[in-house]
Amino acid sequence: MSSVSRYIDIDLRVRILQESFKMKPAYESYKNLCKDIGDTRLTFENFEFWFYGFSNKQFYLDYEPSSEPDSHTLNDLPYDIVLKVVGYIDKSDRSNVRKVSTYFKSIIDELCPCYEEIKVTLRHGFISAKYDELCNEYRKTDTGCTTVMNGKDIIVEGDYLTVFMDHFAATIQNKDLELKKLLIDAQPRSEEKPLDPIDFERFTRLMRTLKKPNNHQPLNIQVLHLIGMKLDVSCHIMSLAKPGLLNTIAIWSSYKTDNYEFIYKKMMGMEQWRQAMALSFLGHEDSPAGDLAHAQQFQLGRSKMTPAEIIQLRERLLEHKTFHYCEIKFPPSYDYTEIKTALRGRHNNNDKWYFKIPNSHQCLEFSFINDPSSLRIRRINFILP
Amino acid sequence: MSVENAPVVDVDEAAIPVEKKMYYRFESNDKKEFRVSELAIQQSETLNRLVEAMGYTSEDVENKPAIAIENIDGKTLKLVFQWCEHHKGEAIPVDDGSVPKIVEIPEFDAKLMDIDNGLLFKLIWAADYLNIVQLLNVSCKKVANMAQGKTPAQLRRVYLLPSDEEDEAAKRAAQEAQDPRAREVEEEFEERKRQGGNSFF
Repeated sequence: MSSVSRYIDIDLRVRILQESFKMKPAYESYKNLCKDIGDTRLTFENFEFWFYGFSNKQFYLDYEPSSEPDSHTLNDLPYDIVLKVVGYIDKSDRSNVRKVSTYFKSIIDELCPCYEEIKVTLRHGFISAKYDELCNEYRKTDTGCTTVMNGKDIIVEGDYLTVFMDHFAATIQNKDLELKKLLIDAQPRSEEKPLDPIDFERFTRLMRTLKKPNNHQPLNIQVLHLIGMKLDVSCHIMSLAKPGLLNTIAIWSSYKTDNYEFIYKKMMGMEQWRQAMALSFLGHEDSPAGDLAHAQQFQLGRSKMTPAEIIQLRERLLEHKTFHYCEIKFPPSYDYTEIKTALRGRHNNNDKWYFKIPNSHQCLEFSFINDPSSLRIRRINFILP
Repeated sequence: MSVENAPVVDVDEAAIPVEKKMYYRFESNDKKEFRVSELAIQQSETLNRLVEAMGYTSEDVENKPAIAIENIDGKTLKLVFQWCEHHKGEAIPVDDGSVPKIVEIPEFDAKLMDIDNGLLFKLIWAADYLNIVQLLNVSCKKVANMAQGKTPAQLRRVYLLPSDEEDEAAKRAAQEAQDPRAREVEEEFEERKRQGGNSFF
């Protein structure tokens, strides 16, 4: 804290008071005043002192500034105190505090990280973690790991996956984390270089070590999208999320493990799965549609479907009070003949079948799509002739 | 005094020595003196340790110079000691440095902190410096409550905070004011760079 004289002549006080009425930012007002009085008569620091004093109606023109230590803004307080103050601020107000300045943004992010989306992408030789607009990339090098944090290269000793995991786990395991969507993609596109199998195994092992904040507090995630992961890892990550709040789950992967059936059964029984409103399960082409049909909308991949299965699904959806939409993806050029024969419903020339929902003015519409092959079912308002 | 005129005192009660309260004397950096009870001082971990280490007797506190608190002015110290006297004897919460707990601001504290923001920030600074845990809690809570429903611009006004641009501009202005040659040197450096030189030297 420094001692600074805040005394200024009365004519300057009047001018600053007038500037404060204009509701302009402090520096703009200061520059405006300097145009008239010159740059040398008044420092910005002194201007700011009087400007904010008048703006906040803390003192008037006759205020006698003392030569007390100059600690009159929140910024002047020690960092841990500012952190404490921010900690008391209601969560609903924190987003506005975050916009005050870079300093407060960093404090809020440390105290209560709040992201719309965290996206982790594993590719050959690198892994990236994108926290909304901030992207960190961890590259495998001969000597260790090069971390690119928000565009700046930082050489970090150690394995690139471990360095990534230290950062990622610290974020995920923060009990104040507010996160809408978590996306983990470990499946390179066809044009990309395949993953190193050893690195993928290590990544899998690291993901299994992720824990809930405080070891018991569930993660507040609404959307979980896992691509190219082993089912047990997907299952583990899903188990960290809060059931009910997690409303969308998408698991796209074709990896099969030795105890696949056991893990699959376990996953279908999890509260997170049972309470989700939207489900997508692609890659494992033999899972029964009934395991997803409790959701309002769902998507699954099947190599084939028997007539009995399709009839069973139709009956279930006709009784489903909140069902909205589903899509069953089939291999290319799939032959629907058997299914269509089994449906025996009313249909039109556009390959659409309709089934009236009992006690309602709605019906289920079955559409058979070719190239790519899929069956789409939706609930629509429609009066059958 | 005759025996008849003497006040009636119960013998047993009279036998108990009346414990004399000790008041310590403190002096702010602007030479204002305060007398604070021993019990009130216990609210401040810093002052409590200080007086314990000094081991003053009742005579010492009267005869020796007041204990100087050089970093805090009289106006702020007055508020601090008013708070300590009001809350003397109360349990001191444990400060484990964790995320703040739920804090209610008592009526007395609310009135005490009905002051301008500059003084409030000084009070927080003093509570931190003197390690008065509960005063720090309520004063931080009071500052936090000011954020309710405010836009970023309003928050800057309430907390007396500059925006990033203002902060940068102020730093630049201060730098230029400190060294009028700075800009000239910078311009010269830029000019040399444009001419192809890699180094100013």
